[in-house]
Amino acid sequence: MKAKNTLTTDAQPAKNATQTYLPTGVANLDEVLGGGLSPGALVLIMGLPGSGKTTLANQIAFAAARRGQTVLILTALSEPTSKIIAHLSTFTFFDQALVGGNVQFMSLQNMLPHGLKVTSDEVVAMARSIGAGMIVLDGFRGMRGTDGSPQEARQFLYDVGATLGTLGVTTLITSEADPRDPTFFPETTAADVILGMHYALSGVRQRRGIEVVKARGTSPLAGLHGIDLTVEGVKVYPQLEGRVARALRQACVAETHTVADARARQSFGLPDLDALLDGGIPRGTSTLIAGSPGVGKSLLALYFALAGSAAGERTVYLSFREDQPQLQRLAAPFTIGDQLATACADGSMTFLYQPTIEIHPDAIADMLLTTLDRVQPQRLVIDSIAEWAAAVTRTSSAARLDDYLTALLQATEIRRLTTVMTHATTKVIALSLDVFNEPLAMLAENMLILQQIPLHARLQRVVSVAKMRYSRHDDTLRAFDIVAPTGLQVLAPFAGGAEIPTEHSWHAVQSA
Amino acid sequence: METREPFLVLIVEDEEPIATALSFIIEDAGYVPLIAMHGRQALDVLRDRYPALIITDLMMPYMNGAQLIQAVRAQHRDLPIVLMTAAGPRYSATAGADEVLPKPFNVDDIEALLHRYLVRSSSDPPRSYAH
Repeated sequence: MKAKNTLTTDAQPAKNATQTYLPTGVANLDEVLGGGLSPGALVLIMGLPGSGKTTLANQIAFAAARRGQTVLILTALSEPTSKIIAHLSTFTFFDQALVGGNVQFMSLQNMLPHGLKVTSDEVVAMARSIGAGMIVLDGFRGMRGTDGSPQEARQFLYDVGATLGTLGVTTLITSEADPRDPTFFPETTAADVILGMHYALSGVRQRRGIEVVKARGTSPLAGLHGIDLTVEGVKVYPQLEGRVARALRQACVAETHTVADARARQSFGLPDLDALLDGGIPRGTSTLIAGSPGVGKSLLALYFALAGSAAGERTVYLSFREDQPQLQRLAAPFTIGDQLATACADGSMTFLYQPTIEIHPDAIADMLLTTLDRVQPQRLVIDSIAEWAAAVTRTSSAARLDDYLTALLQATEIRRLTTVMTHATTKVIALSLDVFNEPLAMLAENMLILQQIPLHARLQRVVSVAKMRYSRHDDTLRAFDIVAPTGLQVLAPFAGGAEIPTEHSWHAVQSA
Repeated sequence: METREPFLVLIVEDEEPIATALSFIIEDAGYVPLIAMHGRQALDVLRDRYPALIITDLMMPYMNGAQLIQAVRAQHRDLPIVLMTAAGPRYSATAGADEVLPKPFNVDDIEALLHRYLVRSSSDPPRSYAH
């Protein structure tokens, strides 16, 4: 029962030299818990049927068993032991070789009729007899019913938790209950950690989540975090805002934050465009390329990525619409087609493709941040940020979007990345210079607007630098063309502003 | 002259699960635990038994740990007493305990404590709980 394999996880440093945590073995859960589970903790996992309580508890148990701990899994009145083993065997964390050895299954059914006091004594005796370092008690709601009284249930949790806790045995108890149901508050006071598992329908979609309702002695990530339940078990996607806020606190970025160096530039590899930007985008800033559909936003973002490869830098390119072959087809008619193939082959460009159908936005963030920390790039391209933003509002609410995007940009800032994001405007063809009024227009430090406007009986692409927060820039409107094989060419300045139609002049021509 | 029982450890603790867990650890380490639920009960025990070590909680009903230590010291000046408390080490000097054991403690803490104050009753090493 004395935990011999207590490890400090990588997710969070221990709060002091003597503090150790048990890793849960569940992806990202240690980070959400603020380090892991304290040895000897009483952990209550609450949630409605189907929310993933049993899977989570047993995933943690098998991870402990793989580390060498003896784990006792007790079923109450939820499922027969044979059925729970059959259910668990469908998960990849299940290891048949451990069953009967480091993982022992037993049923409490014969003890429960004798009352919770007898049951708690028996649980402790069983744990002692096999030298358990962890116990899982599945189906506490059923046990609560045997004596009928919340006070009895609370006493049971207190007796089991305090005795086993002193002996260093970590106890996981699942209970079918809404984590916010005040009916269960009396017994939840005995728990050191309460994990709330949430499960709901949103339209035709299932939404699963986990929250740390309570965690004594650690600093968990607050709020609701997304989860996936797959054959690998539970995977947790920490809420981006909380994750970034913690990283900012830990890094003391408020003290060390440096405003982007206006002298250091990262170019698009397009001399005429870079000239408008006074040499390129200031290093470490975020840039929004907003524009009408089909105007060339993705192509311009690709130029930025490939200019990084040419300069010996690494780029991560996150695409929501085009997979890598599609992007290569987009680039193939132009001279940058070969450069793209080379950049992907030599590893200077890491391509991520993530359709947003049925995916939690925090899962996208987790994938991206994990990749950024692995690749350590200098440049990041997100094509387009609109899909990601839509996933946020679809799965949470529009009210979350500002905080989410702010956190995303701070996550890139902490990593000193120069970020380029594309975003489609609503008008395919604008009669005049379009106004772009999305939250990102405020959040991004720099903004380029690309549009197609009617000019001289044809559609003319026009680029303008709407803002550059840390830099001077040229605010001249410039036409540009996309022509094979040269690619994107920024043209000479217009001879006079009158050549760019205003909405007023357009209507005047139409009515003449 | 009283004869000290070299393997007897008196646990004075009003929280039953803590007392039970302590008794398991002491038993598995090769000693003999005896539980009193508060200071008065401990003094009753001490009329007939003479343990080699007392491990007492501080905050208990009827007679707290500090009062118990004072009463025990009047009769058994050399009997080692360890005071368990979550209140911090400042009670050590005022209460007259030989040592303060901060709560919460773990199995290693208790085994080390027994090793410091007692000689094991068996030649076997203490049994560890966890595998």
